[in-house]
Amino acid sequence: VKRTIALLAGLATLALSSVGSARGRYCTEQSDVVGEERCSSFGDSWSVERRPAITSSFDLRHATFDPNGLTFTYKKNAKPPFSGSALRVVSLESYGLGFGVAYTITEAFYIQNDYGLTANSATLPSGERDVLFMSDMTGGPGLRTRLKYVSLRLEADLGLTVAGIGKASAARGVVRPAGGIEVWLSPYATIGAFGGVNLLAWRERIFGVVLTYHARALDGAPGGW
Amino acid sequence: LSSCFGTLPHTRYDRVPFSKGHVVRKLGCLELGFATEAVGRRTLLDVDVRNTCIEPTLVDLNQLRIEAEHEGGARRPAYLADPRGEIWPMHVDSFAEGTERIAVDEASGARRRCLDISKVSAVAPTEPTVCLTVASAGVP
Repeated sequence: VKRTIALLAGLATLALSSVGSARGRYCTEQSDVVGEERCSSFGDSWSVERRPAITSSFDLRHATFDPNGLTFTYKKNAKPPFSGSALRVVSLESYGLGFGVAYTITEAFYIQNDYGLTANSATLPSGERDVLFMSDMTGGPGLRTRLKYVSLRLEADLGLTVAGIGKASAARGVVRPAGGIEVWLSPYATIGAFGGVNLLAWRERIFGVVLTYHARALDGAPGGW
Repeated sequence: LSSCFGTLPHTRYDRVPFSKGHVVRKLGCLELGFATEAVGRRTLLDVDVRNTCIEPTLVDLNQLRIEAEHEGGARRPAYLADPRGEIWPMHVDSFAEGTERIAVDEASGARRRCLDISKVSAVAPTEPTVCLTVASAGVP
């Protein structure tokens, strides 16, 4: 997972830098008249529609994972697997960070994906205490509305959560309705709170605080909707 | 941007919006500035746009109506040249401003142009008509 994330981040950086180079360093403007410009288009410097329709967010989160009903296995079967219920906990608690990107489809509808990495410690059936890592990868559709300087959103997170205790790990699918409330700090930034529950294991919950950058002011939505 | 456009041959005004010589109209949150200049045989219309509010505000320059006034007072319709079909309704970003320079398609010999801006924005202007006399490139 880490290698995939690193690879995707590298590719994104490369793509963004090449776009920047094409527009900045290598594009020589030949006219400033609309329709004759080579490096820009009408509205580039001022219009909402010319800005990328994305938001990116960074959050601090608390996540829980229900080990009951799952089997924790070791890589290469280094040790025998054990049942999650042998941990004798209702849920594993963890704290960590998340990063998400949302792509605006319409003013009210968006598609998002999100990655979270949280950690804590847990006690193995043998009684040893070891590091707990949880990796949460989700994506899905979302709806949002803005009431002046407060935005509300409701989304469906579909994906996978992997929990690892030491070198043993188990995974469960995620079908998680989630909601959030955000307050606009500026036309381009919000701070808010979010939470959700996994329908496949209702003890698996996530909540936290999130800081979001919006490429389009107020999500590109004029007043009156 | 300034380095990109600084060497272009035909600009009477710099790329800073609302330079002197522009006729400015306010339509609610939207401010529009207009000026014309003659470059060679054609006329260019400089349009400055500015949003003075936090909410994005709509501007539709397709709704700009232009009449070119000729010798003897005859008026004929003129049009904004948009060879790539780029001019469509757009929202001016929060507190954003910018300038567009657009060629005017018109019959030759026009002395001045009058713009009807009444449908450019949802807010009706108090003065819907802007009349502009062409200045030659390089004349302040």
